[in-house]
Amino acid sequence: MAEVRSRDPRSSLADGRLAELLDTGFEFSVRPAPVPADVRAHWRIPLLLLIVDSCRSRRASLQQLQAIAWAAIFEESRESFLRAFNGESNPAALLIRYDPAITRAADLAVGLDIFAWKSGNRLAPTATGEEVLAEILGNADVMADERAFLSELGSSIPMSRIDKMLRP
Amino acid sequence: MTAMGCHPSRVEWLITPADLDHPTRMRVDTEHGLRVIAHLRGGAHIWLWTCGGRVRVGSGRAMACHMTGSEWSGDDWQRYCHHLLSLRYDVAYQPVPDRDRGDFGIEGFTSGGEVFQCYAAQDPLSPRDLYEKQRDKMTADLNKLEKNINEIRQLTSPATIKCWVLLVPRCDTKNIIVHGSIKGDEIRAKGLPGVDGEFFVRVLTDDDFASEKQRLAGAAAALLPSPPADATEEEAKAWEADAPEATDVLRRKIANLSHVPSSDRESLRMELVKRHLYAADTEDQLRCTQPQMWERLDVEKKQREQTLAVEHLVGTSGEQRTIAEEVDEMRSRLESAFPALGGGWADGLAWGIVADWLIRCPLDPIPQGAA
Repeated sequence: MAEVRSRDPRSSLADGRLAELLDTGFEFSVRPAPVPADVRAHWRIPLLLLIVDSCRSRRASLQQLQAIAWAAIFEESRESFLRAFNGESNPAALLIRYDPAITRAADLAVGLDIFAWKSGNRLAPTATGEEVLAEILGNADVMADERAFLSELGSSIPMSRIDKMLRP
Repeated sequence: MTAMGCHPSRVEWLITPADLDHPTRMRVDTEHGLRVIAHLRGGAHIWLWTCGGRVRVGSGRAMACHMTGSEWSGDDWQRYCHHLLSLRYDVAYQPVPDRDRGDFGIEGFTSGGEVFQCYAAQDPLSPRDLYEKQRDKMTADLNKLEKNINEIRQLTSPATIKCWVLLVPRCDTKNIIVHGSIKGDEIRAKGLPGVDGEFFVRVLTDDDFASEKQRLAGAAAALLPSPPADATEEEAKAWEADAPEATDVLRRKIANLSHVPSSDRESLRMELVKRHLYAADTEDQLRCTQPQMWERLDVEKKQREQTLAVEHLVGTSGEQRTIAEEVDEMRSRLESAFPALGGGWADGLAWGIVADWLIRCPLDPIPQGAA
């Protein structure tokens, strides 16, 4: 079980006092809530295009996309992924997270004719996808961090190595 | 076309196909299976299948979309099932390796004569497509059972085979249960050696292993990172400087609370901001390390918001429950929904969520005595 956090000693109000001050009724109405940018499909689809563009034969399975996208999105995960990818650490120690938003983005991209399924379980960009990709690549500022990470994996990522990381 | 919400039964889509002049926003209910969701300009229809089906927009334009469909690979599902079965049956459960001339169509068995096979069809599939795949799998593996019965008897001996269970991530139609019943009758009628006279076939999902799932969730807690540090006074002040409008909202709401002494108002505001920041940090950490859990948390929050809004509309909230009691309610819901998180996380998140509601405006305090 995760450890129970301790309160900041500089905390000005203890839980009990806070509860006393908020011992009052309330009204409630639903208001729009912000959605983190990297969860939005409109951000993830371009990321998937960049990933597939970096993959050998420019095709990738959903599992391969999950692994690379997890590393590309979060700064914290990039370093450990790169170490395992380069054989400097045991891939078994790498906890690649499955993210349902990636699968949804891939499905949406297929529906929008940006990706197509090839050989049953590989995603490849369609002509529309190639146009979108060209637009992304035409602007160096777009997804610069993610592109820098992908370039560290090489211009033609061997998918067999990703598979080995998924099933060490 | 953008999904605006991700609760499996209430999905809101913003639809902007090229053939529409204006975006169309609609809320759809996917609980009731296939239906025409909306008629769009130019005669286009939107169809939605429950649980990982297809959405069709316009003529011949198909869009696959998962909502709650299983995302399991065959290997992962098999591993997960082994964990559930081992937890339920302990040493009475024996997994069957498949590297040496196959597994005879069974993944494992118990010393009580229950035989298990796991199967995760590759989504997205409509309920009918899923049924057909599960039916074919069941038929093929029960044929293997019959063909390899002598070898399987050697494995399960001395127990006779009492039932054959297909473990699947989801079961969308009773037709697969009917098919299993028919196949069970056929096997019984054949009087195979080592097969019990009361033999039957079942189709189960992991929902039939609720307590084992909970124990696995507990084990998953070991994978959680440590909770983030509490936000400091300096961070809270920096946030206020960056968000003057939100700070004014909070200041105004607190000023309306006549029961709060003026000497406490500043510290109350700072504490709420700190708790809001703590919850935001926690959510960021979950999003990075446990994205599935983060999505469930997001759904949990949205559901609670909807419930509170409806309760308020019909006059059953607010006057009856205080803000502090709502924090307790939220904490209790989080503890129940996320046993792996533990009390510390739930407490911090509950306070942070309510603080966020105060800051973002869905929640408006009613001064004591004003109701």
